[in-house]
Amino acid sequence: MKRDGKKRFLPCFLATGVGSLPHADVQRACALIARTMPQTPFWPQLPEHSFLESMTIQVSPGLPFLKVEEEKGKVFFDTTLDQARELEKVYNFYLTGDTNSYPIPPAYAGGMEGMMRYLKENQHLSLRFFKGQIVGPITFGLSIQDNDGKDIIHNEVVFDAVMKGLLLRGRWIIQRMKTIAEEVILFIDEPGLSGYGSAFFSVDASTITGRLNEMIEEFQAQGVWVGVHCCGNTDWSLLLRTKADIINFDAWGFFERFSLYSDALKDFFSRDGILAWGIVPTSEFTGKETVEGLMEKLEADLGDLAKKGIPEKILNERCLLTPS
Amino acid sequence: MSAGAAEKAMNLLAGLSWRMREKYFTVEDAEGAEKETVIL
Repeated sequence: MKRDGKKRFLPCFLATGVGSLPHADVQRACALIARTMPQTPFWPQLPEHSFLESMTIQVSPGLPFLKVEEEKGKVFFDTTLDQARELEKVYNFYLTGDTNSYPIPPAYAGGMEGMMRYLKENQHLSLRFFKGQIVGPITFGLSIQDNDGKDIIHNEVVFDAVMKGLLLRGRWIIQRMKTIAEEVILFIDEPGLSGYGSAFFSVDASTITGRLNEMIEEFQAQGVWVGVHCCGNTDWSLLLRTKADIINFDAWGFFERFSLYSDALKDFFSRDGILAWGIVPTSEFTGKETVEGLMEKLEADLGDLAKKGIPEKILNERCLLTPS
Repeated sequence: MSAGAAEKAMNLLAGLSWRMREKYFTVEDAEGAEKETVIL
């Protein structure tokens, strides 16, 4: 996107990663990222290193109303807590623009701190880009319940406070990442949106768009490029019409369905949007894939979108590559 | 996905990125674009 006072970002087939890696060894994961994505490295979540790095748990410490009952292995939002106190605390931090009130504690950030340390020690040139991620509001709001078992996204008062906590956490992540790179790319991870459209999905389109845009605008105001990642199929017109700078889709598994949204995609590109192609399979990875095979598929898919009226130059310049 | 498989997948991604950039973008593209963009 070209925003006021900001350069355009034309990744031209640069590669970066998505949230997690299956490694338990922090150093091995960081070396892999630095070697394979030297221009746009990312910090990984490493749930095999510590379950505290799972995407919903990682951002949870200190959120308003949150209650952890370790002996029962239960995490929930306790709506019986003193509401005024819980709300006042988070809104005060939010309104005063506090960036340090919601850090990610070191035990929850092995991959993040490990990657930053690795880059500081091994990166000899200044780092232009650094990519990170945070769980999105919809996925988070559908993952943790209140004490009555209701998804917290459906409790408007409590969820709005939780949302402010997530925004504060994002501010802290951005400030931390900016200490080592000129430009920060932050993806909002929304795997939960792959259920959108099914009869069991309980969040409506306006809530999805509203909450996503709230988070996107908050992070854009911190001067970063904001992406939305969904690793399954969803209603892509919904995401393409948010204010995101980057949309990351599973090109390996769902290109045909994604390509049905070519009109929304044209609008997205007219706003200088960047498409991040999840072109290398992850859960469907067989080990038999080759660079040539992936290139053939990518070129065929790019050609398909070009036939639908999107200029080839735009498709190529605004293309980031990621795992699916 | 195992760590070993993830490493193979990321190596493929790096190789794909390099091949696509080499095929579709020249040094001149990058130098020209550098004036107003953050192309690498």
